[in-house]
Amino acid sequence: MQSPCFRFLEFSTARSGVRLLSGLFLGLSLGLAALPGLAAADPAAEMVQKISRSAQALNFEGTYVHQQNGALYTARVYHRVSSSGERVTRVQSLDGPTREVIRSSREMRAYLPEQRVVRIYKGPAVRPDFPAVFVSNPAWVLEHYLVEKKPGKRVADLETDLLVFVPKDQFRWRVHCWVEKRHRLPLKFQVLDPQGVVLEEYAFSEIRINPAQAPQVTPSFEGVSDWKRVQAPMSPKEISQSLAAAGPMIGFRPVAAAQISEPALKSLEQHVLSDGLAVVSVFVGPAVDAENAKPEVSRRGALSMVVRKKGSQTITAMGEVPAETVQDLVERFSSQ
Amino acid sequence: MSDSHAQSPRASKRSQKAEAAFTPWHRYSEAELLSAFIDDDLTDSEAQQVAAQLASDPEQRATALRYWIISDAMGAVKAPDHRPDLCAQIAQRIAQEPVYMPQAARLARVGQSRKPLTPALRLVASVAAVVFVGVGAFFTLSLPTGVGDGVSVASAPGNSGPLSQGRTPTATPGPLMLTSFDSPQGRALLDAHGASHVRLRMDDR
Repeated sequence: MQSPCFRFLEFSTARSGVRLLSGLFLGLSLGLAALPGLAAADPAAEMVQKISRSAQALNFEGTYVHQQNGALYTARVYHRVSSSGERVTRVQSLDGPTREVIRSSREMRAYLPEQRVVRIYKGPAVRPDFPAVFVSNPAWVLEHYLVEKKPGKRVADLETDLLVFVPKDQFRWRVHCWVEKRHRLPLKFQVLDPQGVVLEEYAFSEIRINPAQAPQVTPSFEGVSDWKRVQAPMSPKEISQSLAAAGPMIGFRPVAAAQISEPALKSLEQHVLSDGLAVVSVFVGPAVDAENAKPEVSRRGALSMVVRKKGSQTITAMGEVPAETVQDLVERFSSQ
Repeated sequence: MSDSHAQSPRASKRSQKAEAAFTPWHRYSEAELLSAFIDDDLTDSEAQQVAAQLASDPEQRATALRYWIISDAMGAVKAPDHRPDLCAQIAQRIAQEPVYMPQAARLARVGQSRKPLTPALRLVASVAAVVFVGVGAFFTLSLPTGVGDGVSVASAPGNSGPLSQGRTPTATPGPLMLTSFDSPQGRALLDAHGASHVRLRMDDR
């Protein structure tokens, strides 16, 4: 594991003193990181852990905007933690058709009122939903990103600190995350390319943290018990032992696996990989008609996708990563 | 299977059932129903009900198209043997809407470039094409075809490659590839990969 580096960048006042402190912190963090078991004392590690915990442990409800590829969507999120620690998240679309997604530790349900259908995705969540941003073990993030702390700005009427996740290689995007000062809950999240262009962004316009009344996480629709229930054609499965044993691939570790088997789709394996922040899915299934297939990357905002045909199989890698990453991963899976 | 084939022995046998007493929704789940429709496993009256549903339901059309493309790609599509008149009517109606023509025509060519597209599949393809109007990137047919709002990185430098940002999609036929996020396969994979908010908008196009 490379040494995590957490730079407390100077504020405009007391610049030289803070610079000295930042240097001390930097040296201290490098030194501590070199000692196994003391990594938790690293301020970057502590910050990342706090951010990860806050999104899981706090009750909150708020409205956020999601920008991707020039399109804006608005959603309202409700997050409630029961006394037993059970977490339930409800996301309600505020644009387009009125739909809701409710996620628990066991499954996710998508409510589609136009069809009076509840689509059920079995299994625990793998991907985080904003404002949660880290996947699996947040400490992995420090292996692949330098973390810089900078003065934040007011977001949704709350003061923040800005954390900049600077990738250590070309296989991941730069990330800016504004976290609320007191609870360390992310309020704004940006994915940027090397030129600083924002590829994807989430930002709360309004949020209430730990509101007096617990957030409502049951569906807002009437009579949902009468709606048709449709099982999504994907079921969780064990992570491949060989994949787990192979170790990180360009920093991406397997975090989940699923079998996708729609009635018309014979069988498709999904391997979910993450570096702690970015997520890539690699799909392996029967070959489509792709005689002239070449490795070709499609991009949409932060999302990249590439397809590779290998014998009787088609391998597709998709994720919020640069093109090089999906290309590298799809080649690795192709060579297995 | 030719268009003039009015009723196969199997369809004839099915028509003897008391179809009117049941709608297809009684014996199929939503997913199974569309799958059965694509695979021509429904009775004539059931198929007509589903076709009517598809005509009015963009989400179902998108799902049906996805199933068709996947089935077709896997070689699992059977040749339907019914409802040519209904297919023709709806296909004609779509054809009269100029804005829908490129997508419908391209879909038809997709099937024809690989194997003849039966009338019923043309119906599904044509009707489902409506879903994607306005999306921009619609369908990526191998390398020579544009990708709408997607960006081909591999075709760099200088966006001079076959897939460039902002290029208007062309109707060049070719092997079907999973290179567009808005292709049915791309959307199905995006659904599997995506976070909750993505799933909220899967068919909101």
